[in-house]
Amino acid sequence: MTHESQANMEKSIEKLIYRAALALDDHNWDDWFKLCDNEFSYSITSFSPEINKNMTYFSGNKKELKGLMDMLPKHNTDHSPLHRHTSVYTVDVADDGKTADAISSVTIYQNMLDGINSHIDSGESRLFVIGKYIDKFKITDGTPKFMSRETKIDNRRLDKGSHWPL
Amino acid sequence: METNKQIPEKGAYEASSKNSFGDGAKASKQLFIEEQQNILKNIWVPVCHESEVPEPYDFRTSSIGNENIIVCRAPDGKINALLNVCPHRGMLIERRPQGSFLEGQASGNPKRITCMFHAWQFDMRGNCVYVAREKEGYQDRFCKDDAGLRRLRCNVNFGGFVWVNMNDQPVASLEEWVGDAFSSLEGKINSTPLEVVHYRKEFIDTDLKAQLLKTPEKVDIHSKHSFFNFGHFMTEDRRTGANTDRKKNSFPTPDAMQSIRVNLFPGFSFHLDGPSLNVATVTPVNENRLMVEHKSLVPQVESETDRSTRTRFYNANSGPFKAMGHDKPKAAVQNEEKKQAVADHLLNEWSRWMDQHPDGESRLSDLTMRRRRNAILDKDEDLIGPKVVVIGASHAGIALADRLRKNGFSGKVAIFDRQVGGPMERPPLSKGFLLGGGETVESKSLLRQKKWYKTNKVRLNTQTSVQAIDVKNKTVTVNNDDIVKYDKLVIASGAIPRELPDTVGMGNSFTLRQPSDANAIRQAANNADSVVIIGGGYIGLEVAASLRKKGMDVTVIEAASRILARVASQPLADHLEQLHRDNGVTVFTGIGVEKINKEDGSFESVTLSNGEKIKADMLITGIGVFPDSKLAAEAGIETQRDDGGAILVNEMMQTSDEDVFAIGDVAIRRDQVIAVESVHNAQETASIAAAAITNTLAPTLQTPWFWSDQYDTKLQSVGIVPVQDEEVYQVVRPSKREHGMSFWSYKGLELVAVEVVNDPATYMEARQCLDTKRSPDPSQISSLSYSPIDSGGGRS
Amino acid sequence: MAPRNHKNWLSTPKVEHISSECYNNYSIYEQEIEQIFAKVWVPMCHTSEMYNDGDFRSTQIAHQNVVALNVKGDIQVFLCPSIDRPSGNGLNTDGLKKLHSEVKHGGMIWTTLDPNPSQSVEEWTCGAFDCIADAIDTEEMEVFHYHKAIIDTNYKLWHDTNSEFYHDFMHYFNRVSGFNDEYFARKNIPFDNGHVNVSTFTVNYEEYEGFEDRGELSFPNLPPNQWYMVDLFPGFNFNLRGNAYRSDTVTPLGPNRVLIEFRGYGLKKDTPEERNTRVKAHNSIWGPFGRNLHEDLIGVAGQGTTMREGTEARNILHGRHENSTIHDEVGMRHYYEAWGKFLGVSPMNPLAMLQENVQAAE
Repeated sequence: MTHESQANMEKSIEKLIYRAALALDDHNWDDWFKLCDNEFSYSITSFSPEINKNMTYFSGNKKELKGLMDMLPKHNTDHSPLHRHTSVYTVDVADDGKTADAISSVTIYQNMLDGINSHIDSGESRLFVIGKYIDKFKITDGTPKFMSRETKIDNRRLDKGSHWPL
Repeated sequence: METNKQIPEKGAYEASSKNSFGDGAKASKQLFIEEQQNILKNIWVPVCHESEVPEPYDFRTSSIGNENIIVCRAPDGKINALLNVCPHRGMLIERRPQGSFLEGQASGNPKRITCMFHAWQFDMRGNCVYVAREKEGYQDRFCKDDAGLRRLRCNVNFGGFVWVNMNDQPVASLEEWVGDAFSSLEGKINSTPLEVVHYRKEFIDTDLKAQLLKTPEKVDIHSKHSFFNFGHFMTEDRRTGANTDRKKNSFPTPDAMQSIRVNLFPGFSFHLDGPSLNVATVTPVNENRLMVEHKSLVPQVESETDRSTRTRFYNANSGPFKAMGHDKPKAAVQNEEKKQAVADHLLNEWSRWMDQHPDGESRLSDLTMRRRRNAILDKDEDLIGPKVVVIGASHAGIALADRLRKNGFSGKVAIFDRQVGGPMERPPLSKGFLLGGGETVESKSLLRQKKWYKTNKVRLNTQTSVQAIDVKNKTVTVNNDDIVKYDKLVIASGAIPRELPDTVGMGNSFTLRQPSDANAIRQAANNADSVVIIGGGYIGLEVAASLRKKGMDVTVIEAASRILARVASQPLADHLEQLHRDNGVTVFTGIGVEKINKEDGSFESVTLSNGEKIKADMLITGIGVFPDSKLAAEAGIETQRDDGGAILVNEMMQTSDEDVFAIGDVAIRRDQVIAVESVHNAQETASIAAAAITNTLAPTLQTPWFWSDQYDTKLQSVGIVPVQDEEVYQVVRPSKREHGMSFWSYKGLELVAVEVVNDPATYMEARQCLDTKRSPDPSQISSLSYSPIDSGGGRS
Repeated sequence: MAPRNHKNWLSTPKVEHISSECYNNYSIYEQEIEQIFAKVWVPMCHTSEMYNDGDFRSTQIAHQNVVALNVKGDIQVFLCPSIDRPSGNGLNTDGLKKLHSEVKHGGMIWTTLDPNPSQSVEEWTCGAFDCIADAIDTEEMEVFHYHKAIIDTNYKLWHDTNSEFYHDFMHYFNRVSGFNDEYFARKNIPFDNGHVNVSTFTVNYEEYEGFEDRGELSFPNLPPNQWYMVDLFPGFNFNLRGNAYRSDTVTPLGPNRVLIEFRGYGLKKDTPEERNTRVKAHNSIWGPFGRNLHEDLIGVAGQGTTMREGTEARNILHGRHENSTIHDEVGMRHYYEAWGKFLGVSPMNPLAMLQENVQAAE
């Protein structure tokens, strides 16, 4: 892989991460899934100093995620939108140009809507979680797609949590 | 829980002493909760605008105090307000700020308000229509019929706002609550349907009362401001140098330069500022946090260009980022006095609802009170024509205002009264009122409901004392030195109860005339077992009956040889005296009071002229009244004596000054021998004066009438018994009714008065006789088979 | 029926009820801390959180800082006012006051602030764990999940939700996977001291799109896909659902604020694959991003909103009777009977008697 094509691929991956952030912000799950390989797997993890363990708070493959998202209207959910601010820190494309890894910092805010006492809270933005996206990509014909995403959050206090992937 | 809050008159904040909240105020958290209970849950709150729920099934959630509510539009288009609390386990039923119930929620069905927790469902009126597994869980013990939501009072009015009151029996109707304050705004904002186009909220780390004190900062010295009942006020201003946008897009009516701001207590502001109506509402969140919601409303139908111009204008002047705008608002020029006046107005209201003094240091100047009164006087500018000023919101004063309007008088009518609160029916004060338990005045006892004053454009200024009358310049001085002009002045200041010199300033000693007197007696009686009443007139006897009914030991002392010596016939007096004795009252007649004995400054006992000493827990003096004519006498208006007495009037109730009238208990006609203090007298003299002022036909005079309730006995009398006239005699007529009878007073063959006990039908017959000058035969009137109406001969 | 006016709204219901004042009065909260939380056995953490000698884990009980310490395999619990970390290794216990403690019921560490507890843990729980004892005490367990929530609601509202299954109408997952004859036959069984457990039934996990049968990795001695629940007074819940075991514990932070700590447990001998299966099963329902927990917490947060301090006292109904089966509210009724005894108040009008009690004490 030439230096230039590597740089271009890094740029494409950065754009892909940002595009995924927009799709997730908008709950545009279909657009998000389109950016993911069919073998895509997703997890939310955290480390607890309390019990001194790495933990998985949520996990699923593309099919499972899609099933959950399709089922959402039947659930009682806090609809307060989540808005993420993502900064891509590193993108490492493999020498063979077929895979890549990226680490991004992510801060997710919750814009209160119907969670608690909407007359008072709605419209207020609160910090929801902070953490990192640890992403792996598969590159086919020069096009990168998500193979996996680990959303590694620092929070263990999650109050009401969420029905949505972060 | 408190349900029916009445505004207490007691403990009202006297602006002249203190006006800020200091360390003495209650612990802030407790105060916060009390503000929710006492104020917010009892007033009309503008929770949203009808345009926020445009379609059937649309809803908006909000809160009043700390109670959550839902406002929703029913299929019939009506807007309802419901408590947003599930009757099952208290879940917040709808969590979203706004939306539509047309679409079913996760746990429920379309067109239903669904509680997500256990899927109970309700319709738009708050009926419970579904309880999950109802029969299985509740069998026949409970069903959806028992599970309706709490429905709240809700009115859509005054510019399409949705007003909700948490109190099922509001202290005032919405009309009474905001009507006056909105009078300048109403025509403008009602002229076209509006919609909300801007919404934002802000949080301020403060509390409600601190925010109240900040309100005056918005009052510009150049603006004209007016105060209204319930702590509301309005400022009007004219903008100078307004730009073209403003002129072109002025709010529907054309006065582009106008700025009207109506501030409703305790913090709802409606500001019509040229092109937009800007609304701000406060919601206290906790003892140190307040939410302010800002909305801007514009006409629903308009071009995009107009809409964008309005938005630009709003953002530049009132938007969240207005500092970035080009059209910087000029710094408000203020002065301390105006601010003080507004602060006093608000704190006074706060104090009334909270029934406590806002403790703190005084920053008040007398000047502010003057400003406040002036503002009151300047309010009814829409009225043209002469101005009638009435001193005293007595039965007579109110009746005069009523007659003036009924006679077609279109000028200004202002009534000044030094009492707190709206004038009340006086007769019940000595009767049923004393039996009540509370400390507040029931609104049903009000002489007129608040709406009456608005409808009739009668300006009632309570807590306003008239200091002097200047007949030469035709002015009165109000409170300190505010000067109010009049064209006609009517003195209806009534009378003041006589006191014995020994009782002045004595504890546990009372007279009865005003609601505050009745309140004081009522409260003292709750802690007393015995009472001595000096004076066997009607007031004394009515109080005796009321307090006896409460179970107290009652002694009545009358110096004259019999009770009611001045006003009733001997047989009636005897009958009533026996009635009191039968009910356990000790009645002394023909015995004077030698001495009133005090202990620690409070009443202890009376020593009678026969040496007997009677101890009691309280003393009530009911020995008559004297006319409150001091102002008139000082102004050179002729009274009975140089040092007072009643104001002398002619047959038109005109005093020695042709522009000054006197009516009711304060006045006496030059040809009149004896003063009669009664509601009838008040009404009749008021009618006569009103006719004179409006130059209309004088009313047909009625025979004087009077009524009294003692125990279960109802006394009605018509005509005046000339008790001093030895030629007058009485005939007793029995009654078909149990415990009924009547005493017919004749002079010769002429019927002069009838006193009726427990027999309303006979009273009506007697009245008819006297009104038509018909005298039934005295020798037959004692026979029930004789009809006074059919048989009596007319006389001319 | 017609919506209600204020008077009808506040009128006494025809079925069992308590006053919302139980949930938002500060004096009651203070009494609960003193009379309940400072007296009862509290399951503060799990032995697997402190495997090694010197490991410690801290918590707060009735406003007191408490530390559990592994002293060469022996678990000891101390009052430790100065503790500033949730966990660690190495703690000087000189001068610290030792508290009574026991390891019981699946390796939980129990302690009490009561210097002279009248009952052992076994006596306190009085049989409430019997139904799952074989499942949780046969193999050593290990905590794999910890997270916490702080919700503006009363701790009892959380326990109420754990004590009644009528709210399954809120959970789409439970409606589709559970509402069958066997489900409706589940019984609420009251035990002394205000505890309750809910008997088992078979969950049809596959009824929910994307969920898998959990028969394979059931806990020891537990038939496939069974679901048991133990509700321990005054606010501790143990929940065994097929191949996942969960506990949650409350720490009241105020009348209208509660800290809830959630733990998920597997067997220590689990292979990584087995562990993953359990973790996934735990997360799908009870994880912070699971289907049910989010809904439960929205529920109690909503109750906390309408019942925050200073709101009008209203009636909370506990009146469903279904022969003690799953939608019977007997669990809550049983709980409040015990609660009322602890405080010496009537849950229907707690303030009246509370005032008398306080005056008498003074």
